[in-house]
Amino acid sequence: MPTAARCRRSMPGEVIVAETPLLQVEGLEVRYGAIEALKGVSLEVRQGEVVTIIGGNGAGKSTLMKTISGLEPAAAGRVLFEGRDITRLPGHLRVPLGIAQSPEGRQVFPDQTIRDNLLLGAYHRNAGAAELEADLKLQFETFPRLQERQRQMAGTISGGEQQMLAIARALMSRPKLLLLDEPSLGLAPLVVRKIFGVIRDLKARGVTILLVEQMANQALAVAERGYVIETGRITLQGRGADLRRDPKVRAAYLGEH
Amino acid sequence: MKGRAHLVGVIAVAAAIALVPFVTSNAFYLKVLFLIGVNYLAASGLNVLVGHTGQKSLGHAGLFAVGAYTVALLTARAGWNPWLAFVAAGVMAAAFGVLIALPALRVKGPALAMVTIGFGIVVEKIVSEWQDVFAGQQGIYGVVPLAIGGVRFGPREWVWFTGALALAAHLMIRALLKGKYGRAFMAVNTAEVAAESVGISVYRFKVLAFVISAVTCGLAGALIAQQNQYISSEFITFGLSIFFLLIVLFGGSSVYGPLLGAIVLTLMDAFLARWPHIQHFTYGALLLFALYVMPEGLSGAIRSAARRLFPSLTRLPPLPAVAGEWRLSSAGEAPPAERLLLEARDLYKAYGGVVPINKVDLEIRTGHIHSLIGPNGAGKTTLLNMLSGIVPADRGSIRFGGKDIGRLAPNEISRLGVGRTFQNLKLFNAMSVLDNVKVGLHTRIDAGLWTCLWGLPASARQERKAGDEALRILAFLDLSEHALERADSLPYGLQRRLELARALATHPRLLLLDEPAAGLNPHETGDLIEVISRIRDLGVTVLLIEHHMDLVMAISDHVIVLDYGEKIAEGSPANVQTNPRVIAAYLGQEDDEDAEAGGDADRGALPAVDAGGGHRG
Amino acid sequence: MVAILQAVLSGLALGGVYALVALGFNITHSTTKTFNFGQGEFLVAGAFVAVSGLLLLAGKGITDPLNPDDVTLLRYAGSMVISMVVLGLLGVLLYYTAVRPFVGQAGLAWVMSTIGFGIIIQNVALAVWGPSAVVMPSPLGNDVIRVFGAGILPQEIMVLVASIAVMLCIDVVMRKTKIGKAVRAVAQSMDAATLMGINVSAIVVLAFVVSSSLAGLAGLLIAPITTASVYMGLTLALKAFSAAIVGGLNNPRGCMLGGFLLGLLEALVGLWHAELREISIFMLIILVLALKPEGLLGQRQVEKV
Repeated sequence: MPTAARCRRSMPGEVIVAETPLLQVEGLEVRYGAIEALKGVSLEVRQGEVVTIIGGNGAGKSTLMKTISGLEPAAAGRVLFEGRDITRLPGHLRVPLGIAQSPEGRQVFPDQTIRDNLLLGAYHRNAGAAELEADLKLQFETFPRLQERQRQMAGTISGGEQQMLAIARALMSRPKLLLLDEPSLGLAPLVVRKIFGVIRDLKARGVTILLVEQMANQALAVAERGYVIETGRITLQGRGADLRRDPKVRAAYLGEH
Repeated sequence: MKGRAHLVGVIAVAAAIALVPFVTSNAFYLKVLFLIGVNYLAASGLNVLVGHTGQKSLGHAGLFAVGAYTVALLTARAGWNPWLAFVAAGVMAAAFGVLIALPALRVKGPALAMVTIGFGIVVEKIVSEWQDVFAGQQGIYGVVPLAIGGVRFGPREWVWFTGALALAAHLMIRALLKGKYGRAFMAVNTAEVAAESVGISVYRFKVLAFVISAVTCGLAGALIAQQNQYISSEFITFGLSIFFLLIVLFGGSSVYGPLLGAIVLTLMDAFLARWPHIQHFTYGALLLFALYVMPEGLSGAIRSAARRLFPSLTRLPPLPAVAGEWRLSSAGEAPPAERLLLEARDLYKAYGGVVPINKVDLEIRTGHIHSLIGPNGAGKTTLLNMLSGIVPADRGSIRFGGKDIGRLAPNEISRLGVGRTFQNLKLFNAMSVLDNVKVGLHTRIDAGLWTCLWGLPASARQERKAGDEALRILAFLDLSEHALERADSLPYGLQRRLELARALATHPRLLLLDEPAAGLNPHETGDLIEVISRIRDLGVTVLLIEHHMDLVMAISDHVIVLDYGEKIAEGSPANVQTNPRVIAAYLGQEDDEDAEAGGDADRGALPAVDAGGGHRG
Repeated sequence: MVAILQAVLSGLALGGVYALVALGFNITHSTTKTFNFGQGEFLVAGAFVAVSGLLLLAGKGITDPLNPDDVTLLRYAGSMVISMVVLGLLGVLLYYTAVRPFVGQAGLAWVMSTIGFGIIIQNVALAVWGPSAVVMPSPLGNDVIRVFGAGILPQEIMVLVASIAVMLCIDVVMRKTKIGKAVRAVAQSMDAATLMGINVSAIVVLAFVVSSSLAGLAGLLIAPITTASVYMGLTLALKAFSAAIVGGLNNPRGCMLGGFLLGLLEALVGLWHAELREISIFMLIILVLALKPEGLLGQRQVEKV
């Protein structure tokens, strides 16, 4: 298992202020009509960390992700990115700040080619052709399958490949924070293993990741820290390895009896 | 307006209709009164279709034409008795109502609106271009007006007759909408799938609503043709369809809405007739801006204003006290436990390359609580939808109580005794809690269309009986104190419980619950466990999908685990909980490095099912 | 034979107009699930704004009678720009007053509000230009051109060429350019598009601008063939919508194909029995709805329960 994740890769001249977490969520509440999906969630992600949020279906994981990326409005609480309050910032303006998300269910653009999907990931950057080609090349190194199929429509590739595409597409925006929403959803175990391999690689490259997962064992194995979310509340938090051994985690999924 | 107030109102209106023609002999005023009556008649039926059943029709000028040309051709060309022709106009319009209802069953929303526009245009083209029969713009002269004792109707008689007809339409439609039919129309409007789930045939009620609106529009057309003794294609325009619809939307969907709309718009029409530009401009402005200002129409605006000004009006009538605990109709004759109730064999469903359900066998036994669990995207809801008939299986069979239900419509399956709730609540939001339960009792209210239309005592008796039973069901689920509140005003947890009450009202033998605890807090979840146990004790067999494992483990006799559309385990809760395949499905591989060694290789061989696939919905 | 060829040519020209409007329906429907029920009135507005544009360019008042001398190819092109810009702005107005407040509301309120908007446009047009039809001379004159013996008006050729050119243009933009790909991304998933940093609201407004401009263009193209009348909108829009249904409302190429098919059908049936033209179209619609409700090239939408 790579342990290099601790050493943060910093660009020349870039100053990392360790005191300010990259992402801070404070007392976040979200409602869908009468349903309270999030009831005061607080968490933080520091530069270079991989943090996971685990929990069963309907616990509020995806709602949390959507609120961080601006797809859902917050009813109360704050979202801070690099210390800046972005709670009211429209979703499309959060991407240029450095927040990219691979959404739940992947949501690749099925009627566009893999290549175009990737280029849409860089939509906001106004980058030149050469720069984009270089970035594409970088993604294809991580995801060789995508290179082979770059002219194919995204709707025609397998679920696992779509997940790779969704992650690569998010990376094309050169994010400071990568949000991964249930990358294992609906995928066969072998494919899930591959996806987690990719997450490990990204971690080794120093990408900061917030990972939402149902597959608690794998997620906690890859993450430095984890939060357990149940019915819209954080009920447990701690180091990944500790949570993995915690019997309460299993109880959260399979009941306590 | 309830009971006595309504009676007083009806008598007052009847008296006014009878007396006004004596007060004035001004032909213009009488004509305006006549037109108010005609427009009300057309709008009252259209309101059933648009306001209650939620089917926007922009082609009712076509049905108006059917009525008008039926009387015109039958009297002027075939020499029929005008009364007979008048009745025939209603019948013909009803037949055409069925005709345009057919596409309504295929398409929804905007496409339906367009299809109805198309119908209107086709009729317009036929009557204007098929000159030999319909005489186009020249029109058909010599339409024979109604007459009594050989004396043809004059302006006064027309006001009386149309007024009487309008009053009759009001009384019948009010009686119809008050009872099970009104609720069923509303149910179809709000949530078609939920309506089917309580045994209401969406198909039947949509056709019925189209027919009712067709008859009133057809009769309105006949009245106009007979009163003018003339009809031409100039009458049949898209503008007329819009005008009828505008009356309904402007007036609002209350039974008094069309009346308000007909009075205001007919007067406005008569007043603005001198300036046709302004007239049409006003319609456009009304369509656009009435929606901003009065989304519920004039009647809705008046009602909410009245409630603000006179808060006492909002006081709800006391509920009758009902004695006795609610029982299933089959109580006492419930079959012994452990009998096979539902049996599914080899069920298979695919959407393109996605296979949410792959060769699943299922046995549900009476008296048990069965739980269906599995990770996200495992195919649980699809399976439930297949059992309740919403999603047809590609292959495999489903037998319920020994009967093959694989090809039945959801409402037929419901009638056989399969009730269900929905993962994303599908309540009839605008109805009261009590009425939601009464919709659940729909198939048990033994009153036919005629009984309800004429408001016969039998329908009132049945209605009272249903009300009593609904109250008992609400008492059973501790919802009595909310009986008269709007369903969507309840807190979320109670809305979930109301859906349970509605499903119970169908007296199901098998109850399918799709995530009954979703969104509930721990306290409410605890209550739910108790409620489900009591439902089982009534003799109802339960199959539920749930993610709250505490709940599943606490109440299930039998747990079925789905993963990637396949059944991977079943048995007692304790067995399932310790089953390594189940643990792996939920928590993922215990340890990646070990798994590489191939501990679970068979799972790896499963097809890569893209069950969660987002974009295809 | 000659008659059939002639009908095919004028059917294709007519079909080009339907296809343009149908494409407009597709563009807003795929992005917002709504479209303008008053599109016919927009088409009328397009024709009349073009008439006034021609007059302005000829140095006359906007409601003066139009002479054939006033219409040169250059002025026609100029009036086309004017008409499309004005209609585009009208599209913005439509979106903010009649669509956005009602999107997602129960009971299809947007259908009513867009019809209302259309009626207002129609009556403004009536007030400005009056109820009588205006003959709009074609910039190419009225000398019939012979193609294999079949007579065809130069304007019909222009309609066909212009509509195909515009549609090709849109097709290429949608497939090859960054903005086109963004529009398609919005159509496929608004959430995912937002996650790409695409300003979805701006794209939606753009969709209404393009759709309305296309209606304006269609009005301008068809006016010299049928004369411009305040009352021509409804049937034209209805046929264009039928074209969209036949071809598949959610597929732009389907909408174009549907337009040409309907134009051909109408012209060929007209050859045989002129009064059956409209009826045959709606028969076709009912047939398509019964057999393939998603349209010839459409994709079936699975409804989630």
